[in-house]
Order: sequence, then C-alpha cells, then structure tokens
Amino acid sequence: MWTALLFGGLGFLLYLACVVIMLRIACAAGPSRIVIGAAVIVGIATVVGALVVRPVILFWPLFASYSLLSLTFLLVFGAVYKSISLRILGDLLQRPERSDDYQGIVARYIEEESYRARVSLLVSEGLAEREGAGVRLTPKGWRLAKAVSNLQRFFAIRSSG
Amino acid sequence: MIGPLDLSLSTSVLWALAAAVCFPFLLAAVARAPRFSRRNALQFLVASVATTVGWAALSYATTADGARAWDLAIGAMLLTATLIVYLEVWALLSRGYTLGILLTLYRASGPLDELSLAKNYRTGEGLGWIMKHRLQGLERTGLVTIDHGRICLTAVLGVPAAGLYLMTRRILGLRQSG
Repeated sequence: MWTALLFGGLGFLLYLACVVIMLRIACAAGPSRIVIGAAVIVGIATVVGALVVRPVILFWPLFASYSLLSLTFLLVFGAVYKSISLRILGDLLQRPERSDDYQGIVARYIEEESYRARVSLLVSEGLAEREGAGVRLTPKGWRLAKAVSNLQRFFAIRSSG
Repeated sequence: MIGPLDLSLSTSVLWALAAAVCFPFLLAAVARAPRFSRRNALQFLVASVATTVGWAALSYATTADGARAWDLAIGAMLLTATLIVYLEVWALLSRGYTLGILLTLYRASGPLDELSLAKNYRTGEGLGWIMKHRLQGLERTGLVTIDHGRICLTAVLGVPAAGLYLMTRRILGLRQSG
C-alpha cells in the first residue's frame, strides 16, 4: 500500500516538474493543453515505471493518490490561469495605494483585454469566425454550444458567466 | 490482476466509483429544488456532502467487521478526485466567461458585432454583469473594499491573496492570465 501511494506522490512531483519546464519552453502548444496532456502522459508513465521497479503494484492506491494530487493542482492552475477575480487582485497589488477606479477596471479587463482575448480565442480555435464587422459560430462552435446548452439544461443552470 | 498490476477493488473503492457515477444525477436533482434555485455553489456543496455521507455509510454498512482505514482512505481519495473533476465542469458551465460568449452567439439569430455581443452577453445582462458579480464576490470574501467607486485591496486577506497569486503565476511561468 505504502509503495503504491509513494509512486503516486513521486509521479505527481514528476508531473509538476514537467509542467513547470514545458510551460516555459513550449509556448505554442497553449498552457491548458500542456497541463492536461502532461497529467495523462505522466500518469501512464508512473504506472509503467512502478511496474518496472516492483513485482506487484496495487493500482487503485497509486491511481487515487496521483489523480487526487494532479487534479488539485489542475484546480489551482485553472484559477490562476483563467480567473478574472484573481487577475484583478494581482493588478490591484501593483497599483499605487493598492486601489483603482471601478470604471477603469471595467474598461480594462472586461471591455478590452479579457473580452477581446476570449473572442479571439473562439476564432483561433475554429469555434467562431469573423464576418464583416461581426462574429458568428462555425459548425464546430455551433455543435459545442448546443452540447453546452443541453448540459446546462440537464443541470438546470440558467446562464453562464 | 493483469500481470503484475493488482486491480482488486475494496468495498469502499467500489462504492466510491458508484458514487462518482451517481453524482451528476444527484446534482441535477438538487439543482431543481426550488430552495437552491440559482445558487450554483450551494447546489454543488449540498450534492457533494450528500454523496460523501452516502458513500461513507454504504462503505461501513456493507463491509463485514467494518471498513479498514486504508480502504476508506483510498476510497475517499478517489471520490474527492472525482468531485474535483465535476467541480471543474460545473464551474465552467455555471461561471465560464468564454462559454458565456459562445452561448450568446449560439442564441443570436445572426452574426453579432463586438458591441452587440457584449450587450447580449448572459441573455441580455451585458458584460457589466460579470464585473459586478466578480467584484461582489471579492467584497463578500473580504479581499477588497469598494468605496465611492474605488476598489481597494484589504491588508489582511487581499494583499496576501494577490501576492500568492502573482508568485504562483511566476513559478508556473504564465505570461497571460484572466
């Protein structure tokens, strides 16, 4: 039992090291793809590595410890990478007197950086396309939106944002 | 066993896997209860607590001589990991900013320019809503104070949280976020 848990912990440390290095060198792949892809690849490598070193390995304790640690990391990563609230906190810390004007924040994060960055992301991922001055969904974007809309209906979520 | 890989399931791990399968249906039922209407975080919390209590009760009740501490610990780890996955999906569905833009385009009858898209965001509530919602959350948790149109970090919670955020971003090497 201890051995399996230890391998799970070591696998997580390896995953952390891989993520920190890859986020610095593989900019083109996109941070989200790197952290999710590395979690799966290192997870498989951990099981294979444990099988090479030990004659018998308990799968569930290894899987439970590795997945719990790496998913907790992914939760934190998601917040740091995408949270508007945390971004506002970080920017406030770097401003004089650690404060800013409400309208200034609205203009900077919502109407400019965050909003335009997200529309551009939808376009670059092939989910939306520009048509004249407007933006419309591509068939791929329409299918994704329909699936999300159905999921929201299943969970009785009225709207997202 | 598959070769040297021991895949044998203890009762509590088995119940954890069953709980993971049942959780979305329980969450969907909780979300429909009028008492929890429009309170997405509370809906998730109630469903998570109910699932965890149900898992623990079944693990004890169906194991002869009571469940072993180790098996319970592994089952709890698996269940927590699954709940984290659901939490990520739930947060995305209920709070996702990009998904909100995608759904605004989906509900529109034709292409939208950036101004109309911003105005129609979240079925007509507009982009200003997201800012109001996020800032209210920050104020409620004591991270910022809002006074006469100025937003200020609080010294006790806001400054350490912001410092921790910037440090994590630097460690991870993230250039852009939010």
